[in-house]
Amino acid sequence: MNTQALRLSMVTLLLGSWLILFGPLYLRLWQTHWQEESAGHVPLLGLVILALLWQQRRLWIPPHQPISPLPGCLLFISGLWLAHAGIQHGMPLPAMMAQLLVFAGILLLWGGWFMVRQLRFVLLLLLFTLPVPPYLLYTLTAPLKSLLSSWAVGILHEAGYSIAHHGVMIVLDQYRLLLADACSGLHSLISLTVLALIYQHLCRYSWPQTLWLLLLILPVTLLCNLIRLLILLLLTHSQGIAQGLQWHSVSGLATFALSGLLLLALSHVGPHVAATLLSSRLKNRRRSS
Amino acid sequence: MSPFVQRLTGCVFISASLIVTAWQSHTPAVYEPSKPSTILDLATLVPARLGQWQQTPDQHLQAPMAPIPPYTQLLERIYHHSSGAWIMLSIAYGEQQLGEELQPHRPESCYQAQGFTITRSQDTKLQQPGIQLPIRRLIAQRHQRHELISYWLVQGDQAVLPGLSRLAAQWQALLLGGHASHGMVIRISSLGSHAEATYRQHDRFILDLLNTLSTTERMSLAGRPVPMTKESL
Repeated sequence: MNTQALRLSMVTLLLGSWLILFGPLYLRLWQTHWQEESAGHVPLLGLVILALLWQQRRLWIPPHQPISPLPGCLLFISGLWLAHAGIQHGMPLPAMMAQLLVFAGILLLWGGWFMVRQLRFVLLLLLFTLPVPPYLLYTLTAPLKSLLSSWAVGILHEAGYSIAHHGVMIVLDQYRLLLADACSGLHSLISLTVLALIYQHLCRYSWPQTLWLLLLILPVTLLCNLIRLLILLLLTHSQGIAQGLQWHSVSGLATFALSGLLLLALSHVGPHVAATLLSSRLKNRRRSS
Repeated sequence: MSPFVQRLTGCVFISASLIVTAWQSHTPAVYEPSKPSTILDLATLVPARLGQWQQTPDQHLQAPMAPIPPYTQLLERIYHHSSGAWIMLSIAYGEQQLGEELQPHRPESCYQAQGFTITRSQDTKLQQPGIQLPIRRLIAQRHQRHELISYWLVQGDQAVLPGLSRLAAQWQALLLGGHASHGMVIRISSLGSHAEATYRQHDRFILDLLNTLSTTERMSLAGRPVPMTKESL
């Protein structure tokens, strides 16, 4: 048997047994948790991870690197234990965490810390497949939500509309609108972060550029959702609540797409602006000297 | 052994352990009937008469509501005190209180979904020898109706409130072996405007309820109190 076929059969064996353990969990999450806005990116993320592993397929031949049996076994076994407990009790969080541990363990047993370094981006992406506990998501997005509604109301109030808000309850004309968790679009923050991370990886961004991109996520999301909310309120004012609700149901994905595009576009603009500012300042300094 | 054969052996070993774990995990956890706290029948667990309280047949509750998944049992009763006070007791029990997507439905969201506004939420502790119960007090208001609510959750064998402490209890049971996935929501509510007096009544009802139960029965409603565990071991 040639080495090529042997290598392929080893990877198939690993992938197959991986799916036997985690496959049922994926199926269950596909029907429940991954349908939610805060976790909609996870199935796609899985495909990205597979693509990255394919891209790095030269690593499937065990590299000539020392393996780390002790940490590898520890991670692998603790991962299996967590997977066992999580799957048996039907708790997705420990089961998905187990996935990370098992994967890291296999990497260490396959090619030592060298493999972990090579595939550290995959490990980072696996971190984003973990389900975020709802109360944590709520605590993080609640202040942003009330900020958003107070801004929207402030703008429309300045423009002369009869509008007021009490917390997340907006009173417009005869309507009372409740800005719910999902409506605020802020649950897509996690998906946007993942998008940004993948983008910077593909474009081989430098560290400052990546940092700039990550810093942009929050303001861009807030801006896009503010626009969405303003359109919703204006539609409700002029066309009635039915039109407003219709917009509400179509605008979610559009807002996500808009914020994604704006984010990636701005990430290119930033360094240019910084470079121009810097060079003009240097020129000025030269001139003055 | 050539390095390649070594890798192959390692690979087979890894696959085998993954498959064995799958084999062991995909049968859901079975509760041993020998453990008393695991078979629960709410209707027989909670007596119709406790202390000065007497269950009253109520017109509103004549058609018993079917429990909504993940709950497998639902108990809804109205108790009447000899002094004239009324109290509604509601217990929802789920044998498989599964992970996060099926987390216990908080009374907060239940009431809000029915158009109530939660005007107050406060956490306290109900303490008595052998009993230490975290309790959340809510005031729900809809138009002129003020409903005062006291509730707590049981996660595995611990009484908790939603949030971090519930998650901690779940993980503790998960990692140290316990009933991570069963749980219940116990809610006591009554109408009234004088909050403190009504909450004192709730406390009296809870203590009356817990004191009529045997130690094991009490554990299934109020959890295993932390200081008690060491004594009982």
